[in-house]
Amino acid sequence: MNVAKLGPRAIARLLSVACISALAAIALMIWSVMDPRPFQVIMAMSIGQVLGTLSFGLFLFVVAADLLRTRRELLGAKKSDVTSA
Amino acid sequence: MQIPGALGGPPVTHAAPLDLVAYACAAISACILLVYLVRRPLLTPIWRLWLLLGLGVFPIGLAGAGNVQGYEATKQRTFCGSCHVMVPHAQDSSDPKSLSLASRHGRNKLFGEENCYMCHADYGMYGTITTKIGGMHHVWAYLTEYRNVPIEESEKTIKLYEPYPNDNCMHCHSTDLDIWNRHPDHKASLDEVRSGKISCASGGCHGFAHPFTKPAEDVKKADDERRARQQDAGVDR
Repeated sequence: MNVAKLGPRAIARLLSVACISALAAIALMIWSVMDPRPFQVIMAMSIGQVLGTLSFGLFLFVVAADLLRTRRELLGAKKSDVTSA
Repeated sequence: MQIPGALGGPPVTHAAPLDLVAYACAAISACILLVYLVRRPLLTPIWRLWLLLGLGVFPIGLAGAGNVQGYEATKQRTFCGSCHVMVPHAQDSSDPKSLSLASRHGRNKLFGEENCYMCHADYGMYGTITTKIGGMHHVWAYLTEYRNVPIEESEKTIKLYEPYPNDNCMHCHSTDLDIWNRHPDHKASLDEVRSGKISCASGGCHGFAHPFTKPAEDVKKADDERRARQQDAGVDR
């Protein structure tokens, strides 16, 4: 997959997934703080943290892809300016 | 966080400072993420920064505060007693009239509400980690073997994976001190105690930590032997 080819819609969709998974992670972690029993603590420290890490990783991936795409567009625009001149 | 009230009173609920940090981080992060999900804006530099806070900085703060709180919670006696098979152990530890080794340590301020963890935690550099791995083993054993076992049956069948190490006792009760060696039984059994051949928490020494898990005749026999030995030695404890 060429990350620089991710369009704005794909970026928005990936960011939505990251936000929803982060909200789920936050809910699990807050549940364990409010009611610290074995099941809740284990869920927060395993699934909660995995979801939180994945959502942050997804955000970083999307930002990197977006920056690459912007850079490519700028380079493309510069090239077309040079050829038209 | 809920902490049982003094002398079995109603639980006292209050938020520790780290709880407040966790709640604040969660609230701010959730607000940012919900606004993003509702508005679906373009990924401008400003929104990159907001999402960095909402997906990175504040959730990491929440995870840090939540982990510390979770770790502290796992040290509480109420946490250990939250599985039904551990209820008798926790109740005995909380009983101000009980004379079991566990209860006597529970009444010590140094141990207090964390007496299960204080006595059963492994020591050494990686003690906390090995204790937590052991705890996960307990959770697995509970889910797969003991979840439906009646308390009366579990009292007699649950055993430690390995004999209780005297090292855990010696962490506080040093065998190098004169006060320890002044006791004739200690002096006579120093090597055996240090090597673990004799358990401090055996019936004949300081009594069982959780006597209700042992057959009644064993507990009575051990108590009689101990009393007789103390009389012989002229020790009145």
